Amino acid sequence: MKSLKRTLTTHENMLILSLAVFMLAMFAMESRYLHRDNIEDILFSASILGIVAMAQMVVILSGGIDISVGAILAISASVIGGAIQAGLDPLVGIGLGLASGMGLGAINGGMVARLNIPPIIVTLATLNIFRGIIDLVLEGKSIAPPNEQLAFMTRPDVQIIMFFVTAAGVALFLSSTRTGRLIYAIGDNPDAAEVSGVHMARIRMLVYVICGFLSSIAGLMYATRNANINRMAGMNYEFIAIGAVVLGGTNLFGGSGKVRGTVFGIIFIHAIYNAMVIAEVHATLKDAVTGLLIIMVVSLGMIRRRTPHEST
Amino acid sequence: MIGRLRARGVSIIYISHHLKEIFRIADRVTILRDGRRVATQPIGELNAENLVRMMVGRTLGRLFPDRDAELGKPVLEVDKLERAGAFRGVGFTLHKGEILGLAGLVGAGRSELAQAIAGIRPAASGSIRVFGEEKNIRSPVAARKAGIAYIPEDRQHQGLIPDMNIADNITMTVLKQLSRGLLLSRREQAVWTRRYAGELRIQLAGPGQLVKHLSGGNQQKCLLAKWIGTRPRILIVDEPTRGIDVGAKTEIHALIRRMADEGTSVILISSELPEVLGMCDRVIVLHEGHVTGQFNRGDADQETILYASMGTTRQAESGKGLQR
Repeated sequence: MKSLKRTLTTHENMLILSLAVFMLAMFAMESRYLHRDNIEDILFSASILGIVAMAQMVVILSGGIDISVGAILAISASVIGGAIQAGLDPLVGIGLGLASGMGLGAINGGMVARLNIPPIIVTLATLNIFRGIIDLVLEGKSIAPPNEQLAFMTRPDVQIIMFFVTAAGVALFLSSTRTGRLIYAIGDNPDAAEVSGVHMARIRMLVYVICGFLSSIAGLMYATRNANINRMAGMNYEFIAIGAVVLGGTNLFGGSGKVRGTVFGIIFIHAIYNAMVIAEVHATLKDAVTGLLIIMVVSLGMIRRRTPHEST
Repeated sequence: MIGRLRARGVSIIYISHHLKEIFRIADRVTILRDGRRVATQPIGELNAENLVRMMVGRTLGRLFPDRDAELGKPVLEVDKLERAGAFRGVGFTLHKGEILGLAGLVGAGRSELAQAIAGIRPAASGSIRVFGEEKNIRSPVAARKAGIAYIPEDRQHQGLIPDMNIADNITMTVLKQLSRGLLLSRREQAVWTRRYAGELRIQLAGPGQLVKHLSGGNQQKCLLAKWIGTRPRILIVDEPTRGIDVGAKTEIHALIRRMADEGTSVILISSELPEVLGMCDRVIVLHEGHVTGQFNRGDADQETILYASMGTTRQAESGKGLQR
């Protein structure tokens, strides 16, 4: 009984439970909601942002934050689309796109780790710089790559699988590699980690490179999925991603959080978007509803934390 | 200032461990030790010697393991180490298998000196030689490479990762050894944890228990375990037994001794004079960043160390105000 209670009170499980309750309630009102196609729709729409949220999560766990993820997505998507449009082999295009993501991540990481500038300032600056570069290059036009070779990637099931495989990879990385464990350590207690001889700068750098890499995978998915890549690509994704990470129970100041939480966080957000479409709520309310949801879940978490638990 | 107040008839209670000030200012002296009043006497009946004796007390049991080791060759040689506001012109040699005590009052620069050697806040000038080789230790990473382990005074902030479990904390310094290719072996991590938990008698529910749920003594043992696993050649422990129970204290003393016997060179910082006298082969005393005394085991007692701690063997006592 006690262990059941404890299982229920972990943040991730609370979240999964609330999601189930929400979906069942929607199902009671509208039977199409739990139809296979609709569920696929929710997961499909969540998959790109899900990977951006993974990217964001890795940085947040280390005690940082990266609000340039949406801009990195846009640049890498443009590089991939542009390369294919220019007639390059799609694989070369993908390689260039992923490399650009890591490169941009390295710029962020370099400024955070070597110059010790606060991450919020660094990535706020690079967000604007990266967006500026996109505007400069695209000049208001859009990229429309003919992507017959990558057609299979546009399929919802393929994109959903890419999302889950990436999530599994990130989970394995965080739980079972040296660097993964040290990311949690530097996020939880940077002073202790440093005194313990952890190479702080190296890990911080790596975290932003990984973030850039994951954002560019999301960029790849974006490029294959959208007929047009324009300056609006990935706009405001950083905020939805941060929302999903926090919703998933990751400590915004680093040190604790689970991939499972982030996955369900982003699915929850898209389940609500989907419900709003079905209920014919105006789409402009989407962000407001996301905001409300985050406040609700986080304050629930606060209340739980105040009540005494875990008598180990 | 105080003289003027006294002339006006104000009664003054002046709390100080600066002996010269007390002899200059006070009319009567009350001596407290361990929260109890030892004596109250007019100043005229006292001299520095019997005042210190009362401050220290004379009830030292044989709490510490016996020790008569031969000193090995020099392992760490520190020369003219200096950082403004912390320590000046500090030099000493640490030998193989030796336990060297760093005594002094709080604020004398002991931890600062240790943190300089450990690369946390490097010294501005001076040299550090490890096994005769000049080392430029600018970071904890560099110190670790030189075989130096520093166990900080502040367990909560510089020591452990509170939200991580015991296994992750203890193995943090040895993750490379516990990896199979790219991946960390959970099983080896657990084996390692149980081995050191057993060796240090850490009371744990399991390797997955969070360190923040452990008692102070067990946390301190985790911190030691984390570093002992790296097989350091030089171990610096800063107040290793502060705030922990007597049982854990004795175990930690035995552990430090065992490591020294096995050839590790130890620098022990402690504000507890019985601990310093009981554990160390030699003692260096710091006062306001200077070395004011060096004693071999047997040559020092609490009084001589306390004198040196307060700088009364030198004329530094009245210089305190001038340095600020």
